[in-house]
Amino acid sequence: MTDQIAFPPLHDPHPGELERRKQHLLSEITREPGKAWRLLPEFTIPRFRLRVVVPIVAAAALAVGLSVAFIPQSSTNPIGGGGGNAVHGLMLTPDTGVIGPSSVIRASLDYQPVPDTSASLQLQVKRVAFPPGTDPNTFDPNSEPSQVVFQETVPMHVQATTVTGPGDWGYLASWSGTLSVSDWTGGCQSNSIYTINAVVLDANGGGRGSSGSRWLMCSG
Amino acid sequence: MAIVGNLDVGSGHEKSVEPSDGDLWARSRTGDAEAFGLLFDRHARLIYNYCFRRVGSRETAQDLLSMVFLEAWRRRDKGLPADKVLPWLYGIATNVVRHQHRSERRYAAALRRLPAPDAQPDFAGTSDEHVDYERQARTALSLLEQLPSGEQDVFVLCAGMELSYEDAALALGVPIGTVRSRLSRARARLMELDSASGHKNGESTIQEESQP
Repeated sequence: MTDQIAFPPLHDPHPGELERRKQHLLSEITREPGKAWRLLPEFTIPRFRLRVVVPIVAAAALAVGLSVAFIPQSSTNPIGGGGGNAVHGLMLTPDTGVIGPSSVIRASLDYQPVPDTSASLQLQVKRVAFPPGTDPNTFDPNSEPSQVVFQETVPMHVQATTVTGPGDWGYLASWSGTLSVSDWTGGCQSNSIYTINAVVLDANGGGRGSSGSRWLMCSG
Repeated sequence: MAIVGNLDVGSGHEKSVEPSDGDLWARSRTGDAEAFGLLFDRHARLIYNYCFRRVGSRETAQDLLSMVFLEAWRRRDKGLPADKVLPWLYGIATNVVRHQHRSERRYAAALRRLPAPDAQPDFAGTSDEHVDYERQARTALSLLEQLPSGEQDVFVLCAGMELSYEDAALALGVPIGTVRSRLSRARARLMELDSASGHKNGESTIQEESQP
């Protein structure tokens, strides 16, 4: 014998609603990936505050975009370094260097060249805890062991470009998306600092370059 | 209560040439929007109904449906067994419902771009029917909300949407044993609640039926 709550029967939404939703879905997923400045207000501002906040955020985003257009990272083949025709490294919006437990960080990265039309991006968030008694102001996170608290590999959008690279690889790989701090193991811990690393992988899983964020402090 | 669990997928001949969920998912992972659209055609109705049963509002469930598939597309790097696409979508739907406000923030822009619906006559009978569905869903939710969230998830997936224990475990990312124990506790608790309230009202909100 089994028991059940009396759920309403399966039914269709409003007439034509599934088709309308499908067309909307297809238009959304085939949208050209936008630049961070264009998507910033869409992902962070509640609808009812848009009219007030958009101009402020747009100005701030423009300032961030101008000042943090290029973030070279330490790696064997850094994006943004001199090893290739990289367009820009990992960009974070907002890029205040401070995160909170419910922060949602907009991130984007462009990379060139990749050898074919398939590329993916391995994202990794690392946490370094302050040893007890450490002064955060003098703490060197690179000398301490780190823990991976989030990892995900996402496909990149690859398109042909007129700029060619080694072997005439005229392909530009782009990615933009969001990272939610609440998805990270352990969330945001005030006794730790965090960094986001991104590695561009080709179709064979080979690393082509990497980029990373600055160290992020946790607040709240 | 008998619940029909799956959409009609056509005649036997059509079925034999129809790509499997696994094929469509593999194509979706390479960025094939058309394949993803076919997965939407195949599973949207069930996901909508699942969301409806979790929130009790038709309008909200429709928006949640959009968010579930947008989220699935965002996570399309996920490798899935061929027959587990639907359970995985249920898992996404569960998270989207649970973190509804966060999901709404994430996809607010996309939802704002949803075109206005064409003006269509809403026949009185259909409208009344949906009002009844919403009332029924809210009654069910008032009981469900007295359970821990993990038990709510398992109960709606297994008892409401007729997922197997294995598929529910995949959807929720928990061991099968956890699904069994949560379902068992949920049923026991619901029976207690029903006997407490049903005896007063003389009407039971819990339906009992023989298991085949």
